[in-house]
Amino acid sequence: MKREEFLARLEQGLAGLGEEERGEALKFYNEYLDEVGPGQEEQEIARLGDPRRVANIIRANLGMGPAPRADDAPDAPETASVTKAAAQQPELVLEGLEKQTSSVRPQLEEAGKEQIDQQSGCAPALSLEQKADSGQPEPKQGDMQQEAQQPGNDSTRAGAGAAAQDTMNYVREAAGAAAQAAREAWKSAQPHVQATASSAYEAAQASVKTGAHNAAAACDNARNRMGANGVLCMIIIVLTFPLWISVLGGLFGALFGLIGGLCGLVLGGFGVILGGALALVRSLTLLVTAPADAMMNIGISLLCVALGSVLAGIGVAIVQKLVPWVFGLIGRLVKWVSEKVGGGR
Amino acid sequence: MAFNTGAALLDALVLSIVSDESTYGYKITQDVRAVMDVSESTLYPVLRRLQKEACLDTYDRAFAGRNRRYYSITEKGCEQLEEYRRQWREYERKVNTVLFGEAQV
Repeated sequence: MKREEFLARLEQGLAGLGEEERGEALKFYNEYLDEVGPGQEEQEIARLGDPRRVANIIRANLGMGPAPRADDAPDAPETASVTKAAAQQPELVLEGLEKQTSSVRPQLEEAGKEQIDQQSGCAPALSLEQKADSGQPEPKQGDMQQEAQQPGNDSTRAGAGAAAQDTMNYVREAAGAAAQAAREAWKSAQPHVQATASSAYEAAQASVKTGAHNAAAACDNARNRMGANGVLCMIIIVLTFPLWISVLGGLFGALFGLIGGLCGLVLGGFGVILGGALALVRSLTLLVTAPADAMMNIGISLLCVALGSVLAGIGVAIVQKLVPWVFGLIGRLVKWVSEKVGGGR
Repeated sequence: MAFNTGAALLDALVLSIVSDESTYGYKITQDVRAVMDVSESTLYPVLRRLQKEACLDTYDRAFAGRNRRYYSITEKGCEQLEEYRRQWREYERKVNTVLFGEAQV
């Protein structure tokens, strides 16, 4: 890990602390790493360990508790050595010792010093074990248990934090993918879109409402899981507003462009039929004065009517088949997105 | 080391190192680690706390084109260090009495 990364992650870990405390800690570690030769910097950073843990040791010392992350399970012995509870431990030990040794005669001390050289290495260790049985380490175990309880809370909070992170990442990914899709859709749809801009706009508005509703539902869900982080969710939705309104607008523009095109086909077909019919009537009036022209015109008119009928028929058939399919697709898409965003309710 | 050493001893060592000569965080860390098995990341909070408790003072000095923050001991720090030294001697005496004295009787 590079120094910049270490310091950046340390700063993240210290979030929530006062600016002065953060600044002091970062200044200390920056200067600390200045003392190490450039070649040994990464090695020294590795020795310092996970910057989040470094941050948690600082936080623990300032009575802030560890930062809410899953992998922050405190390294018990070290954390114990900096917590206030543990800070009082030596005094407890001293008191305990005082009681234990009050009956021991002072002159034993001198005798004991002489004994050091004579005793085998095993004897002091044995007497240490005996002391251990007499209750001396108990307060320490209590401290360790207190420490051990903390990660439980942390992992709960960490779960919520991770869920928030996941939601955020998901929103970002989905927004990115949708923006890409929208850009492509927009390119292909632009000619049609101009003709159907107003209807697309209305549809987009409606869809934005739906989108907002889904987002709000997702937010509610996320809030249930995250508690106070719901505010964050709202902020994400508001901040990404310009993004997803254009995405939805683009999608619906493309869709209504397609529908507009089909409508054009149908209307064109009917237009050709109408034109053919009018030409037929006109030709009938020519039948008396110029029979040959009239016959040709009648033929062309009938061809026009036939062609128009075919166009209109195809258009109507496509619209009949395509429109329900498209709306079904949109319905499925909206449902899928809301399920995904809502975390599979 | 088998013996678990507490925060008070850490404080005492830091105060003692600084009372000898005003020095900087990296050096203090190395000096403490020479006698006590604590991780590098333990020392900053100790220095910060002693500073907040007015046992230590800090001042900045330029060194080799960069800044170096020095820690110096205050009067309160000196008193605290004397108290730690007294308590340590007491503790050492009692531990020695128990560890080596009782076995001889």
